[in-house]
Amino acid sequence: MKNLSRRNFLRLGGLSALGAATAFNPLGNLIVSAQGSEISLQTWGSFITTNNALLEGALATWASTNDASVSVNFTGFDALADTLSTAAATGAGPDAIMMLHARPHQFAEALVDVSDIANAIGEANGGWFPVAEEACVVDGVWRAVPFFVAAHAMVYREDLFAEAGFDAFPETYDDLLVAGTALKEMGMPLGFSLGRADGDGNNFVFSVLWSFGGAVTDEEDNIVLDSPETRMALEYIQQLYNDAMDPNVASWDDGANNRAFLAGEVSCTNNASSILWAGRNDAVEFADSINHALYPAGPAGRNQFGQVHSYGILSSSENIDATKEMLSFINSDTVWQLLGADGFAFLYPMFRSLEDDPNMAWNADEKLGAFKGLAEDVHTHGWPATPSAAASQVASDFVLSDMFGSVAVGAASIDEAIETAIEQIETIYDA
Amino acid sequence: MTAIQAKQKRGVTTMRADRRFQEGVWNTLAGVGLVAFLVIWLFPVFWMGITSIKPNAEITRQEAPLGVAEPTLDNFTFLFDTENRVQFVRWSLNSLMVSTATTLLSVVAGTMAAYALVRFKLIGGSAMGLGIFVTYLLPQTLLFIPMTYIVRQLNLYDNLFALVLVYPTMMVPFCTWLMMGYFRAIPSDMENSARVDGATRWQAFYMIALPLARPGIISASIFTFTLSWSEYLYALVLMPSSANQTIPIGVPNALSSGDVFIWGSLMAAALLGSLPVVLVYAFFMRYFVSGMMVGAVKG
Amino acid sequence: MAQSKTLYTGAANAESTGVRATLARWFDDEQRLGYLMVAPALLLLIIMVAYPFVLSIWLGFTDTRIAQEATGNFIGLENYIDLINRTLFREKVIRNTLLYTVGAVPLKLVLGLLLALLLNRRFPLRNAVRGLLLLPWVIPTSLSMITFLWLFEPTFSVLNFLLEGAGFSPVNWLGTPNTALFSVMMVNVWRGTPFFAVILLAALQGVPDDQVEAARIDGANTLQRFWYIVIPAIMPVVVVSTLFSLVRTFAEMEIVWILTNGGPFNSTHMIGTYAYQLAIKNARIGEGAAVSLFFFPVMVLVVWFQLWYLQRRAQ
Repeated sequence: MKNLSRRNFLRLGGLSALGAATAFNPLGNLIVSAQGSEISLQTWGSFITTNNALLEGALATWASTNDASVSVNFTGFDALADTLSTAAATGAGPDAIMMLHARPHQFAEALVDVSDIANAIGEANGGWFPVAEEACVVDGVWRAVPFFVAAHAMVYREDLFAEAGFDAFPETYDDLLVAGTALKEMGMPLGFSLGRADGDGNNFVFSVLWSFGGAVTDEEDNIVLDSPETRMALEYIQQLYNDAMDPNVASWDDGANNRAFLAGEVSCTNNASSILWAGRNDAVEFADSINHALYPAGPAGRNQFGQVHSYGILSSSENIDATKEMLSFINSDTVWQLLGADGFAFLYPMFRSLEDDPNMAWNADEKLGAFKGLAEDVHTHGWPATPSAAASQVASDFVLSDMFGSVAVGAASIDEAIETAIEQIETIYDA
Repeated sequence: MTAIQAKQKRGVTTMRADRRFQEGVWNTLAGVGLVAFLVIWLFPVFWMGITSIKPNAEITRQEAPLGVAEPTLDNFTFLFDTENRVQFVRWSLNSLMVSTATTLLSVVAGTMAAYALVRFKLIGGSAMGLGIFVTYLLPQTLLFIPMTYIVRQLNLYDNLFALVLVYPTMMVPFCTWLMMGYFRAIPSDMENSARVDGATRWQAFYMIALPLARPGIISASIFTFTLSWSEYLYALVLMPSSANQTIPIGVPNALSSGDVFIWGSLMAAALLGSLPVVLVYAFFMRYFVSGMMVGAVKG
Repeated sequence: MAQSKTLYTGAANAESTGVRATLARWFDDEQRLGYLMVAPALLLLIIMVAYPFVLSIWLGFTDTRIAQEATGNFIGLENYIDLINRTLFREKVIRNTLLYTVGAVPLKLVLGLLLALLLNRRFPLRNAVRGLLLLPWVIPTSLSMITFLWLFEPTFSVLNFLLEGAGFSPVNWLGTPNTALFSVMMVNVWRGTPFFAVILLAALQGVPDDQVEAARIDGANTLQRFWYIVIPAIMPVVVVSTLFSLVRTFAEMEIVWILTNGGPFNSTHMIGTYAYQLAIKNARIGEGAAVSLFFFPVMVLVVWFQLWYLQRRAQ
């Protein structure tokens, strides 16, 4: 796994030459304020270890040109959420921290207004995708600076789909069921997590529910889960599970689908690009047959969930201005040229200007092409309502995964599953 | 030899043979039982070991998972390769520092408190004893938010000293409780005669009672060290910086990210990370057992 | 102890004078020295435990949420009433916690006692085996749980490989409600049994040999000797270690959190995990505190029983 390749070293080296370029700064007047600051940043440690090194290297260069120091802590998703909560509760924490999904709404009162830099970055880079605003703007104020969307796609085996008679990936969920049934008969079922997987599992169940026209709440936060559309989605998943899926999906965590896919147990799953990355890295024999496709469309269209990653500055920070400046730098072209090229489309910027840049992974690598433009039309927790702490909790309590999963494995009838889910959702929204 | 005597003699022989047979049965059963325990209880450890020496490709291979075709030490060297953001040495030193300091603090505070509570007729002594013991019952999940708040007030967030301050809250009650049992079990005659000979109360404690209580102190230390070594929740919320983390936090944090787990190195780290505690046990097992006994019986 | 007079150099003899002796005399007061010796432990616990504990009790009576200025209002018992009315809490969290505790603790005790009896016999490499069997308790839980994640992995479970090899069908260890609760329970037993065994081994070594021998001469067989001599002798240790284990198992969090995250369908959610989920993941610290405190009165009863039993026995 020592894949800090020569290419990346060169890029890192090139960075110091780019030192002048770090003067990129939408708020030039802040340059002075960074001097002498010690900024701490807590962020997600990517499985693409070179990406972490690139980010850390870039920040070190930035720090030295600005006479500041930056300490970057790479942690897992869970630890990010725990630190954020603890920091917001006690005022002890890093200056800036990565947040997932709609957390800026949940912790808005503990976060600094970053509208100035968020607007500047957006304007300088062709504008933000709508989901960036959805996740980060609370009552008209940016509470976090969008960083990237971990775009999810259908990951599938071209060889197996062709063998089953499907040359292109199914466009609709109905077609997916047909293809999946054939593939399961071949002994290569589909596998979408219906378990406690905050990434893949929630991504899938929210996308399916929305694409069938269902939703947890309407735009005014009225609970509307019990609908014919929701029932249709549940019936679909029940059938998909019985006819086309791996029987263990109800216990799959975020890593289980990667492992099953790479071990050649399933022909398709939903994931970000990490499967292809690992497949190539470990030289899996069918690595060349791995491809990505858009999620299928349902009766209500293609309403996909998007996993937003943003940086918030905690109000307890004593380096607010310097931290803002650092976050601007992280979203600069300088940094994105490194991360976007190396990030395997897992890191997809939330602004539009790099969509057609030939250096970016989604343009340079045809197997990642499906990710291009995907972020334009995705949503975060709570949609179609404005996100809220309650909407986040519905996801973090796995209410939908449990609803779909229990129906699929036959642990509950559709009525029972909806009733259980609604009781939990009511508690969450009322209390 | 009369018929009766012969009969009696035969009876004795059969009884002996019976007993020997019985013992044979018990020995066999015990042997089988022990082997069964060893196999079941050590299988996960074996699995850890075998996974830690598998190359990446073999870890997810499903044929003959119990063996290794091409054993490798890469998973171990990975832990010491600074390029991978794995600061295993650093985490080990952190763990060692925190566990040692916690053990010292807890055992010293616990032993002194236990002695005073057992030997002196303190006003409010039994209430204090009960209070100390009740703190052992409070679940971590209840206390850690307010505790984090205090840690921030003390400016110790993301600082190893925070753990040295927080861990004893779980360990002091146990040490006090164990040592109270121990001091109760030691007759106070020798301390009394030392007093008659002119020793102060402190000297009676320090020079007479303390040496006698050594097995108890050792087992309290080992117990405290083990629990500090593997503590998870407080370290998780109080130590965000990789450089300040302990083994139970640093290892899973660095070796699993999102949906990619580096199994081989995780297992290697689990094995290496348990080694110091295993060594402590190997040296002190005997004292641990006897110390636990007296403490527990007289508690 | 003829020479001991010379030993105590800082002697608090009435005739000694000087600052040092005066100080020594001052400190030799039973109350003064006693409080000084208790002080470090007591201060630490008051500042770091009693204060957070009181704060938590208060939180349990409020609607406090992290990063919500408008919250923090006193709402009396509302959190507790809410909890009782929640199907999730009543039928999953409480049920799972009780099943887990009632299932795992007796099993740990019985297996631990059995293991202690086995380890108390003479056999080759005895000390090495004793040490090895402690490993499950010694390996940091967060790391051994990752091993179990791997052992229970739906696709790669080596346990299923062995089951299938023996002609059984594979088990979806963490995937169905019943197997998942069973699996985490077994993991708890795996980790906890060695500790029981060591404590009980210590107790067994304290059983007087002459009593056992006398019973043997009187014709008691192995089982009788065990039941009438050994068990009563180790009873106090059994009680203490069981109650300790009860308290710990009841509040268990780490095993479940890492292995199942409460799933599938909340079938392994317990007091510890639910409190954490509410307080930290969902920032509802008022509710989280109420969950943690829900069974605190029961815990106090448990301790009270333990102290009462030991006191009665001592008399």
